[in-house]
Amino acid sequence: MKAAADVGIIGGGIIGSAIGYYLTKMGLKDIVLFEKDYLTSGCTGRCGGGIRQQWSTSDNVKLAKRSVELFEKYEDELDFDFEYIQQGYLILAFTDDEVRDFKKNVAMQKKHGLKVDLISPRQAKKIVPFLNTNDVLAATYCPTDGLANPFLTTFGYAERASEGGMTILRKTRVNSIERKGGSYRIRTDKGDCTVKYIVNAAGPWAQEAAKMIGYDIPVEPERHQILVTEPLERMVCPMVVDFYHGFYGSQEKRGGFVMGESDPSEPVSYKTSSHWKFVESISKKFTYLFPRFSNVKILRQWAGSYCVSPDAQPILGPISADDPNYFLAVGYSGHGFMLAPATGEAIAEWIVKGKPLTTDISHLTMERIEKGDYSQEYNVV
Amino acid sequence: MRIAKHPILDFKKQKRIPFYYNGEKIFGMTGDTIASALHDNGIMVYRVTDKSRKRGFFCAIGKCSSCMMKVDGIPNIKTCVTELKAGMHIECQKGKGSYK
Amino acid sequence: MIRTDVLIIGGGPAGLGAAIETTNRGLKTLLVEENPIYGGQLIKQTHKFFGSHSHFAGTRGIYIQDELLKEIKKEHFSMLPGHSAVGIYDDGVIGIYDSKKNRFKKVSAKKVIVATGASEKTIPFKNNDLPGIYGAGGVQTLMNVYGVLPGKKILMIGAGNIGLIVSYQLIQAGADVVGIVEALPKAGGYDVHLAKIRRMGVPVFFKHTIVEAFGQDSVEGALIVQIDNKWKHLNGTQMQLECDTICLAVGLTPSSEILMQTGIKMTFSPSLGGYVPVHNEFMQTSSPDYFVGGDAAGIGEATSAIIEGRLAGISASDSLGKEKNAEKAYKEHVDYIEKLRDGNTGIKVKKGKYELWNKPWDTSMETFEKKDNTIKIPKGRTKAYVSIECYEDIPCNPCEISCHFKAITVGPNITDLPMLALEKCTGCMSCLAQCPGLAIFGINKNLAPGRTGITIPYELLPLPEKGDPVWGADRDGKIICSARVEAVRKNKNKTHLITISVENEYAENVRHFYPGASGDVLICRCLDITADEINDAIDRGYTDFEELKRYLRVTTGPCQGRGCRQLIMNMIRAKTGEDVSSHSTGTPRPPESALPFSAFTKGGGK
Repeated sequence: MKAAADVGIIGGGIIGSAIGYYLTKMGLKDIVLFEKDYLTSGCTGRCGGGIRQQWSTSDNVKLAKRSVELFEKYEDELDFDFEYIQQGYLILAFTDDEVRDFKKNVAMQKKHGLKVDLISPRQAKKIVPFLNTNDVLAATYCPTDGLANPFLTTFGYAERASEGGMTILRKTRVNSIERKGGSYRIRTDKGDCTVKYIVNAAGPWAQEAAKMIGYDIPVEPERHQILVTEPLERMVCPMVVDFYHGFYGSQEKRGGFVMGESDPSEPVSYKTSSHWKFVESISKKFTYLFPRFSNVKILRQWAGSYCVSPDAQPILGPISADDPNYFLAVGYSGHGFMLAPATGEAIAEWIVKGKPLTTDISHLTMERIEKGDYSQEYNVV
Repeated sequence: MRIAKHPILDFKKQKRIPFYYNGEKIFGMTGDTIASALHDNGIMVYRVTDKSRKRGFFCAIGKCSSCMMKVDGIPNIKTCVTELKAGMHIECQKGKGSYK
Repeated sequence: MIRTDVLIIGGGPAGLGAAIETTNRGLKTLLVEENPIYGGQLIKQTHKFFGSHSHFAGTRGIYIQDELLKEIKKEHFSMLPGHSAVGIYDDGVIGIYDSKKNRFKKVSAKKVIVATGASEKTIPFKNNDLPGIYGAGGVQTLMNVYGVLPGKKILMIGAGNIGLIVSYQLIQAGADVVGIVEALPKAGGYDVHLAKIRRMGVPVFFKHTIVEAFGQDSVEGALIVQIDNKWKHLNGTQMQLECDTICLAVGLTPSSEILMQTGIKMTFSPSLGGYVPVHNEFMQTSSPDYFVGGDAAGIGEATSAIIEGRLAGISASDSLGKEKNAEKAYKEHVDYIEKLRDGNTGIKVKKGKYELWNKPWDTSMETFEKKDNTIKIPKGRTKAYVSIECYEDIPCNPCEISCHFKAITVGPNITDLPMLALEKCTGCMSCLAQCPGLAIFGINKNLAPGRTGITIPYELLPLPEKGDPVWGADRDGKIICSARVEAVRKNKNKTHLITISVENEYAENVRHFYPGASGDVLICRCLDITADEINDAIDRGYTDFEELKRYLRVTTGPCQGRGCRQLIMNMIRAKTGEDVSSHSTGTPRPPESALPFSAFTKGGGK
């Protein structure tokens, strides 16, 4: 193992890979990425792959919008077919309260330049002809939202970052971190490495990695279940999101419908096992929304962890003023894949250029958590 | 269907030339006869006789009447011995052929 | 009016042969050929010719027209391709038609040599005019001249030499010959041609005939039936064969209609294929101004067509006083053609010609004494040797000439069987590539313990590579064992020598091989992922099963990796040399088999 490096990244998921990629793109070569198992072995490897810009907080909208700009260029830039498709997100409102909130959100999103509209159930039915809109009051639709394959995106970042000089250490578990002068000594089961900067991109395990230098950060793992159907010929189908019943689902590029739900009763845990209650519950939701597809066959269900923060927004930047070179890129609350491009770019800029330049992430640091001064993201499934 | 590779023969690479079959633009190769180009395009029926019998390629040496078609408005052309030229209009011949 | 000493009609082997003789005697010679390319049927003959080594034997037909052209004296010769003779008028003027310029021209010639070849016969059966039913010559033209394959699945009608040769050429071009239908109880063509396609697995239906072709716009299949000695269909033996092309190789008939316009004497000769102009041994017709040669004078094969053409050329020259020693000039050719027509296949033609010439015929001439050319291999033989599997009186001797050690003898009578002197055979295998019948094989019993090397003359694609696993097939094309390619010797004449090794017990029977299956090795059948794709991914660095799974999605199909997980683990181990037992191999997830949503919604409610 390399004894020293400029940057040590903890976590070989989409976030760690994206940051590694942007660091090498900005000219930094001396980077080591520590991955306790295999690339995408955490939540990235279980992710549904949605890419949405319709959020309720300005910061999430900005990050997501910037990310889509980058996703649109990746096929050439990463030289990787990561199965990106922009087929829109259709978010359904079933109550008057939802309609009111959606109006407010659309106005805010439009202010940021997002192409999004509040539409009638009839218009929604036009976009998704096989959708049951009987109980739908209104919907919002953004055609540039989409879907991509998180594994391939991670591999694309990792391949290009490796070419740029980054060392990827698989099956290498970080056991502890020691402060050593202005640096950190990362101790792993395969040896030690002293680095100037640490990036904590450990996803659900972010809290453990923070504890290694004595911080307790407010992020928690939470199981989310998901399933995929048999692949079918593609029909144009935006991601359909229903916060009221707690459902999202879309057809991926390879033809399978991928869908998941939110379960408010899910306790904090690292569990990623599958439960029959999920499949029963989501089957009802799916066949209610898509009665025509009730005989589509479920291929497989699985589960992954969200790394949930108090306001459902990521925590980015230095862990504290005392440890300005220990960066967090955690707490994405289920949206890490879609925000990875913009946040990867921002963290890399912060390390290489002293501060984030492209996207303003000043409201997303630990400071807001410490002060309790944050705006809650509500648009979460 | 062109023979791509042959254990004995070397087919020289030829230029693609466009022509029309029943109004549809298709391609043959320089050196083709009309019949060989049509066959390469999977077209098997060259004419339909008075008695509604379908006929195609047969002797390849201009000795029979099987492959006669309407070529540039002229009926009863033996396509197996007629060199293909760019822009030719070939039609499946119906009955005895006419100048209409 | 074009004036010439000699007009030759037809630029095939006979016409070119005639031109050699007339031009070399200083006679102004004009040759008209209706096709844009000269050579007649030679231009389609990709196989090596039989005959004497001194007369193009062992040379592929496609090269022979150029060889003939070289012998023609150019200063006395002009050739008009794309011109057909359309009439011989009462004043002796010959009308020719320039198809390119659409112009009728007139020729005045002192002597005319007609070498117009033959046309194909057809046979009656239901729907025999359906597109997709072609004459064998048409098939050869399409594939060997224009490079267009007539179809993918071919049914051949007729097991004469043409049927057998064209079947072989179809396979060379990449088509599949689904079968050969032959009314007689044995092949009319040479045994070696039959053996060649049999060992490639083509079934031959002897005592069968085609009853009907079926298909909507073109051939989709054929019905064949077995027949008895009186050609009666035997009910219950009907068989449907799937094919997209039916190739008729049911014989040729002389094409000398143009000569009939002159009023010269014609006669019907079954052994010569139909109506032929009456002619003498030197190819002169009943008119002193007209000569014939080649198939137009009775169906034969291309080598004797060349000789007949030459005889016609000498005769025409002789009649113009340009041959001083005609006797001698004729003799060489007459002797050779007599030899060519010995043997079971040529004797029919010889008989037809003798009838024409009113020469006495003795039926004892129809039986041939065959030498036994089988040899016993002494037990102690360790050196490689050749096995000559030529048991028919074919007029052919390239094997004799090709042997540098004089181990093979045919002798002056070229229909005699080749005899091998084993003690002189060094196992060099030069003869294998020269035999036009591909009937000589190399045997090396000392290749490796327990294994025999068999060297096979091979003219198919793809050419295997040393080390390739192949399937050993017997003389009927049946796979009987696995084999391995030990050596590939490429030859300029494109008959390459492939040595395969088989276990000793199969050595006597393996005479062909099939390449191991080409195409993709599917590992993940659910998602169509091939071994190549997986190996590429491993090479690219995806050596962890879980990463590989997410990179290619292997094991995520409906079978959940039942079919492929272990295979993929083995591939990773084989490539990386790593112990993969510690790798996570993914977690099979519910449902165990794909289930519809509706199965989970029974009970109703949102």
